[in-house]
Parts: sequence; structure tokens; C-alpha cells
Amino acid sequence: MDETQIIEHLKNGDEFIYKYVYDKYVRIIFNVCYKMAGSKEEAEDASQEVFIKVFNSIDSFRADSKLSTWIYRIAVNVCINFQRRKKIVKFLSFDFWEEEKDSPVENSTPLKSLEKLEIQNTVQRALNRLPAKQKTALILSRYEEKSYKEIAEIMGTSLPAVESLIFRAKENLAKKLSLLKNN
Amino acid sequence: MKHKKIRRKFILYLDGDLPETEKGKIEKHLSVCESCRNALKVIKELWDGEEKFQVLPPESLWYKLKDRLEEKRIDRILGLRLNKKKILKTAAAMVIVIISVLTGSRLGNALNPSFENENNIFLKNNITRDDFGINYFDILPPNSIAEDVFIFASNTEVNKK
Repeated sequence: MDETQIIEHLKNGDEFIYKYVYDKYVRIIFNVCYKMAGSKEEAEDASQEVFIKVFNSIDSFRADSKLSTWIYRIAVNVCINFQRRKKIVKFLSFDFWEEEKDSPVENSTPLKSLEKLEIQNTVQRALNRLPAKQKTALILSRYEEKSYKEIAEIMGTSLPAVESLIFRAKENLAKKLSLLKNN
Repeated sequence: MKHKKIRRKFILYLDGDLPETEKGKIEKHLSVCESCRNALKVIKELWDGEEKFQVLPPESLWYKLKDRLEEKRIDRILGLRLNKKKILKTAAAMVIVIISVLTGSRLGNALNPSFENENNIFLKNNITRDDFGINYFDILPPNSIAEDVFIFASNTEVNKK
């Protein structure tokens, strides 16, 4: 099924297409949400929200970008909003002075060595401390292997802005990684 | 370049994102600074060692999503989903308007010295503030609990007279 047909079925509200779209995009959405949120539980909630938004607002999709770009954009926005909400809840629950608790990265393969898990945890913790936009740009570039042009489309920003975001993200990350490792 | 400045560039250096001149400066510094060489080793270990793994979404995710979609579909059929927000907003606005009007009118009446109607129990019973030596005669809102208490007190005073 090509993209035009998928969009047409989605717009018609044909229910069989939901499962099709879900199967096609669930891995990338879940992985982006997982990297952005840092835990499987939050990634699950965020992924559900993304699909609901995709299915419910397909009428607003103007086909000026690829469907996958539009879905990525929704995922990024949902994850940033989740993070914002989390910060507000944390602030309101008077936990704001506490050191940020980092969700440990779950072991994805049973054979993964402890050392690798520790590395993964450290990098994820450093990523969690980056500003939302820098984190998004870096995740899309490093883990989703998107080009800067695609990232600009997904984030609704310019190419130089993406370059600058990734540059600053890498600078910040190096700083945070050294700090975490020293601690 | 200072150590801090150098270390901030380590990921960019490892990813080959730096221009040649800056790369040269870093290499020059690394050749004479052992502490920065060690720091680079640590960052390299973390950055290169991190496996770009893929996490598998749980199987239950689709069923949870399906349930939520079904809920939304039913809401839409019942016309609740579309109007829920509007209804709540309108109701909240109406409550605010009603409260403002009632409070305004009560305060206005209570503070208005020419408020002379059948509801004014104090004027009806010819009670003045001198009978009580207190100042809330003018400010009690009509039909309020405070007024009920005051009526009870004033009736007792009238009976005494």
C-alpha cells in the first residue's frame, strides 16, 4: 500500500488501517519515545498518545511532507510535552530540589554485559539532562540516523538551527558525561 | 585552550565535526596534557561504547491503544468528545459570571445606604446599629447565613424591647 492510499484510508476512518499504520511505525515511535523519556513505561504512554494524535488529526495533514516525517513531528512534540508536564508535576510535588532521579535503562538483551549497561545508563542520564530541543535533534541524528534536512523538517526549524542544536548538544553532552563519570 | 573548553569539544572531535584548525589545537593540547588525554579516553569509551540498540515495544501496547481508540470512538458517537471541552469551558464561564453578579449585587445592596426594601429586616424592625453597637448593619448581604444569625439576634433584641 502506498502512502497516498494509507492517508486516504486514514481520512476515511477505515479501522483496518490503524493496525497497519501501527505495525509500520510502532518500532520507530517507541524507540524515539524511549530515548526521549528514558523509561519503558513513559515510552508506552507517549507512544499511545502519538498514535491517537496521528489517527485523530490526519485531516490536518496537508501532505507537504512525508507521512513518516509528520508522524515523527507528532512524536517529538508529544515527548517534549510529556517532559514539560513531568517537570511541572515534579515542581508541584515539591521534589524540585531533589537530584533528578534517572530511570535506569532496561536491559534489552539478557546477554548484555553490566559494563555495557552502565555505559548505556550513563549516556541516557546525560541525554536526560540536555535541553529538550538539543536532545531531540541529537536523538534523531544519532539514533534514528536522520539527515539534518529531515531533522529540520521534523522539528519545524531551519537547517542552520539544527546544525547549531546538534553542535551545542554534543558540547553539553561531553561536559555532562565527564561530570557523571567523575561522580 | 583551557582544559574545560577542550573537553567540551570531545564528542565533536570524536565524531569528526570540528574544522581542521580546531582539531589541530585539540591534538596539540592532548599531546602535552595527560589529564585531558584520560578524559578523552573516558568520553570515547562512553560515546563509542554505547550500543545503538533498538527496544521492542511490548505486545500489550496495541491492545491498550485499541481500547483507548474504542473509548474515543464511543465518545465521538455520543457527541461527548467534541463537546466535552466546550461544555466545561462554558459551564466554568457561567459559574464565574453568576458568582460575580451575585457577589456584586449583594455587596452593592449592602453598602448602599438607600437600600430600603422589604428584605431589609433591620429597617423593617426599626433597628439601628446603636441597638447593637456594631458596624455590620450596613454590610450584611441579604439572604446570607450571616443575615440569618443577625435576624435571630435582632428578634431577641426586639422581644426584649
